[in-house]
Amino acid sequence: MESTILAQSVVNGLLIGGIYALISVGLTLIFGVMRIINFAHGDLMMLAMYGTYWMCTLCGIDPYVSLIATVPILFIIGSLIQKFLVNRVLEGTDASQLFLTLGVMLIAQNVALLFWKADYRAVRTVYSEYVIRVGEVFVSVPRLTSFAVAVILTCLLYVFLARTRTGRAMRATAQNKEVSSLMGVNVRQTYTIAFGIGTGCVGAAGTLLSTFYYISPTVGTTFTLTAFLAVVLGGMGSFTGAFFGGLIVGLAESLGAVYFATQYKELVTFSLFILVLLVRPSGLLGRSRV
Amino acid sequence: MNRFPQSLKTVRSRLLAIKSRRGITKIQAVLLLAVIVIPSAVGYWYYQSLQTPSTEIVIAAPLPLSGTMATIGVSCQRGHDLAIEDINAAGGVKALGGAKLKIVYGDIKSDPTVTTSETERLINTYHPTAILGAYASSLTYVATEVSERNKVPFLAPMAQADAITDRGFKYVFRQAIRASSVGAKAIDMIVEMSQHFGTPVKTIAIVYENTLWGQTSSEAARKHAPEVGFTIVYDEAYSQGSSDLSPVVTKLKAAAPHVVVLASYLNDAILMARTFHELDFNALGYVAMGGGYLEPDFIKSAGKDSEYFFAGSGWQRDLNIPGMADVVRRYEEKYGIFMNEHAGLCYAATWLIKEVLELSGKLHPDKPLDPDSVRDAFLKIDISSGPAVMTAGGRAKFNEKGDNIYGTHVYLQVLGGAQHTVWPFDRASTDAVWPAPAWDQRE
Repeated sequence: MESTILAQSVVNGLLIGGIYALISVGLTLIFGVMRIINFAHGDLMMLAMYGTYWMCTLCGIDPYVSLIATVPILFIIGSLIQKFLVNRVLEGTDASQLFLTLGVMLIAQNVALLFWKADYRAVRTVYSEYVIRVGEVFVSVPRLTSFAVAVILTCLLYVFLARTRTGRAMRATAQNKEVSSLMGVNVRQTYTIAFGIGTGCVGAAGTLLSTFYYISPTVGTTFTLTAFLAVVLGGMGSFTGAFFGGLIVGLAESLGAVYFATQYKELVTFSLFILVLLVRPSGLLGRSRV
Repeated sequence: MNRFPQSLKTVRSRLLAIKSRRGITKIQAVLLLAVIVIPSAVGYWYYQSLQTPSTEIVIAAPLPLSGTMATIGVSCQRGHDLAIEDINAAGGVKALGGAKLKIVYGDIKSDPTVTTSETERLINTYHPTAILGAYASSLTYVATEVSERNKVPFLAPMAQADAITDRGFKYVFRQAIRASSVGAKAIDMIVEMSQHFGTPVKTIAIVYENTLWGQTSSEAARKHAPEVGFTIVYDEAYSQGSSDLSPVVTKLKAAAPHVVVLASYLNDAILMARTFHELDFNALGYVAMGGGYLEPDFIKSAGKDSEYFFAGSGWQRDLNIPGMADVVRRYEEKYGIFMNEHAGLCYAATWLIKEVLELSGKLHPDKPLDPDSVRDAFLKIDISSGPAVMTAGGRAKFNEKGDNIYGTHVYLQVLGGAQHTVWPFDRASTDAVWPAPAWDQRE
């Protein structure tokens, strides 16, 4: 019985961790390239969740198919936020950048509240209730599918960053924007694309999450915090760090809640977090910056 | 830029011109008179209109008509309005010469600070005979501070927190169940279900959200369970608004209780039902002490996973009480919306005030509206028929603290996508399904 609980908890943790990973990857990309802490990250995800919900409810579009729409839409929203809002404060103080993303967060939440009320909603599909049974371990089909899609998307993004010109331009800008602009990189354009991809990631995560989670205007807040945790744990600005950070946070929450009291699961996660930072102040895979 | 000083200059020169004429023209005199007389006349008339004629009895209702609890506040208002209409159409308070009831509302904006000032304003402006309100326990708690200080009898239709009647206040009464009795009711219901269907229950689990409501309601269940011979095999709080409830359900499954007792808000309730299914957690019954499991959104969002869940409620539209169906039908025709627990309890509470005033008129014909007479009537009333007791308890009698000793919960079960009253058996509209079919046995 004990081993079943362990196996089940590991599966639970990994499945939710995959979603955390995709959210965190988006967040770390934005931070890594622009040094902007995006508090509105989870709330942009909430917008994608509503997008998926309405497409599914009104037009009967399958949530996974709606990825084709939500990711580009979120990419465009992200690029616009970057182009018209974030660009203006890039040279400003940290405080003005913080207030800007906080402002976007509040606006997103309240617009959602205005249009869609505080009601809780959920996407229902035929496979919502499908469960695969492996021995005594139960795996929900939507969770498993979402996990798989999240991992595939993260890998694709990794290849994009490593192999393409735009990806290289992004990494170059992250390392040193003056030098890369001297080398002919269009820094402003790179910023716009980076912010767009970051929000596209969280948009995909929102769509994937909505297949097994409820939707409400404030749903993003919990996930923003978790993503921050994962990003800092993995090393601010580190892509692989954020990915593994997400998985670790998912596992820690799940195992912590099972082997300690559930209401103290945050205690376990944050203790782990502090421990890691004590040993490695720049995060697991972060390079210390001078 | 200098338009402002210039215009100031013109005003000044005109003023000087008026001054220099040493007096005012006729037109100015008429205008001046109009400016002073008309508003004061309107004001006086308005003030007069606030002073109610002696044939009307004013009831004040501070309610959260805007803010986070607005939807609920509006439901309450509709319940009160319909009751007032019905009472007046039936001839008002007969013991007081057919005096009509009038209700005045104050918007307390779901905010305790506003509640204090608004209740104060209602009392000072309208001098109400009694107050009905203010939905949430937190708001009722502060509103009753004000009413008690002003000696205005206060009837709370649905606030459950024990503290409201535990302060030794003289003029505060509660229609609904006390929060601390909620958990005990759930245990009683499980005992009766298991006897009725011949499925012995030995072990239970209690899973609750870790804020005030979840803690208070689970406390009584924890205390009462051993008294009826149940062993609590799993007892855990989780933090409200969790991103994942799989860990709780994994542990719950390992503990394998016969029945699980739940206290969750709506978002967690949706996730809980889904996770039960995903992780295949089976129990004889899933018993929620009200909360999120009662809301229509629970059934809408959790879909088929919400089937067979039980939830405790102070009111339900299909209660087996004579005349109830008619009230529900008229409410739903009038407002075009489902009559919910909030509207139902407020409807009954308004009638209860009316019955109390009838009794006060009989007991104290010389000063029926005096706060002490009304209080005396509250303490002496014992009513078990009519619209005033169209509630789960079906009877109203108050103890010295001000609690309705018949304030209780009925249990509803989700069957075929709608909630039906299934317990107590004499109030049931439908037979309960017990035990709930296993997840893999459902179609």
